[in-house]
Amino acid sequence: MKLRNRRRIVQGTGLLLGLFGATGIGMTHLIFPGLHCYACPLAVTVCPIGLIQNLVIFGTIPFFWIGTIVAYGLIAGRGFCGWFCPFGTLNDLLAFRKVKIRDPLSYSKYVVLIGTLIAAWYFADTIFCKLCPAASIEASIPYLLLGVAKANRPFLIHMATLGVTLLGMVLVARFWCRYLCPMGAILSLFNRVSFFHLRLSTDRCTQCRACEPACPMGLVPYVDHDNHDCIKCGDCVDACKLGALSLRYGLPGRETAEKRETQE
Amino acid sequence: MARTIHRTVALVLLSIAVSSILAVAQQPILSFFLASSQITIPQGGEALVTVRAENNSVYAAEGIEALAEIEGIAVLVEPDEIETLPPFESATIVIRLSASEEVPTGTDAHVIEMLYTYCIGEQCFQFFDDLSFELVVEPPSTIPTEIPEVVPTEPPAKPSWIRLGIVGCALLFLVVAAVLRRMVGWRWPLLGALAVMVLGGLTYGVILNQHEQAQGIGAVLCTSCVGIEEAQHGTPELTPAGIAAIASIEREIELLVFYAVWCHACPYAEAMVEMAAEHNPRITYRFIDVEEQPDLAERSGVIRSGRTIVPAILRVDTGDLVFGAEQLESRLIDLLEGGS
Repeated sequence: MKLRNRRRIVQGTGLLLGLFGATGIGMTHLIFPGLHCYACPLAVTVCPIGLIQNLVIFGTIPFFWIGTIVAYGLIAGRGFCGWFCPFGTLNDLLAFRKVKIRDPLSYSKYVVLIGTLIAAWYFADTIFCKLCPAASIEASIPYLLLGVAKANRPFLIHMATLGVTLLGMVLVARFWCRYLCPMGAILSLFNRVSFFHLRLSTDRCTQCRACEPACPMGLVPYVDHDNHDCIKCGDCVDACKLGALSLRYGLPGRETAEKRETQE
Repeated sequence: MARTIHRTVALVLLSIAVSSILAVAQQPILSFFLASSQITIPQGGEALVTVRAENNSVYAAEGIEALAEIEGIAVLVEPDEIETLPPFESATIVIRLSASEEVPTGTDAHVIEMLYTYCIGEQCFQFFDDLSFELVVEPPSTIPTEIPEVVPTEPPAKPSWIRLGIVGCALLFLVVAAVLRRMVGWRWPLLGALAVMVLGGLTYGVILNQHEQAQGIGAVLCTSCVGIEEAQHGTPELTPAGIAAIASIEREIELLVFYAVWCHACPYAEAMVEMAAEHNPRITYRFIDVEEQPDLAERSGVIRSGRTIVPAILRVDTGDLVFGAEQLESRLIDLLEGGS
């Protein structure tokens, strides 16, 4: 089975887990490894960004959150963005223009993350949730349909951020994941130490650049296969006819150590 | 090299931001001390429970109330509310318990719920603190007549600094390990640091019941928190027309106000109901913590599509509900006038 098809199945599983509340199961203690609003009527997991904002407001030192997030970072890093996150899947479905990533702009998601935490503390409110486009789809619209929400100013703000984000996704593949996602920013910190990683066999790579246009994040996989923004989707693996790129699950860091030795 | 510098700067900025936020984030500002953890009361007699509130912060605490419900025992709180407790001051609340003659003898655990708010600028926070005590009901003849002297217990240790220290050590360990990996190429210290963070974080988090806290936050929909309605802060005000409408209601109405401790809009809804009750004594109310009484919330219809929605105001006789705090005055009046 092609890697892409395998990924679609796992993405479907992520979506099913996100909507598992349809089975009647209530909210669990699990933190979702992606951006998925816990206010969604069918959610059974807690949004990591929504939770950390509440913990900041409370002044709770988030041991459980840190343990979970570092675990997710080690398990797959940004692989969760490429393989699991429902909002990432929506980004994928609209990924028509795989333009090159703008390096300085890619750091804007760290600004969003830090801004989210500071705003939560300063305003004692979950400001990011009021703007989050995932919440627009998963909470605002469902609760409007359920009669709990009204088409008021907060609803319109949600619709505006959703509209802008969807437009961005159409114009730039994985726009949200590249530049704005605070969860992606957190997971990207673990990308080079995660067990799930993209491997490059330099002896097979002819630098034909076939992988470059395939990357939805606009990276150059044959040059920068362990980039912190790589979502490990594997589209470059499918694009490489020489088998130089592969997705592996193993001890993190070996690739970087080998790369360093080769350079030396 | 430039990329490494960028990432290091991003990591350092993130660490500084998170540490700063954790260090100064909002905390409960009052400490409460019970004079005794065991209260003895005779059947048909009285006993006093003394609670001392200490404000060890630079902020003034407002609206300090003690709430207790004990079957067969009337509870009178004096004063019923301390309007303001200035910084670094303390105050005492006396709770007078009057037992009926029919109340059975025995020992039971009870809780006094202490409720207060404080504001930083325009942002107000509501906190609750539970004080547990044992109530021993004995036959009248065996009860000593003296009321126990108030002996404040030692203030609890402040573990937040210890916890901050743990986080600081973990971050330091992580930074050293990352530097070793970058400079010397050692992978194991970094993996070890991350493994310690996973195991330590999850274990200590579960010990502190943070998994329950996460589940509680996820299970309850705070309407203003996710932008379903405008957040309401500050003190609500009733318009003259609203006051007249509320005062003209002639039926006895009981309201249940469902709240969550961390819900931003709940204090506003609670204050609005309190104000309505002040203008019409026929209106009575109770505050229900949805996390402590989920069954009641479920029976009352506060749970919709698997989510407990707060704030919610239930009119007990009709079963009508009002969710949220936006435009609450008019919706509360509609609730009160409905079925009248």
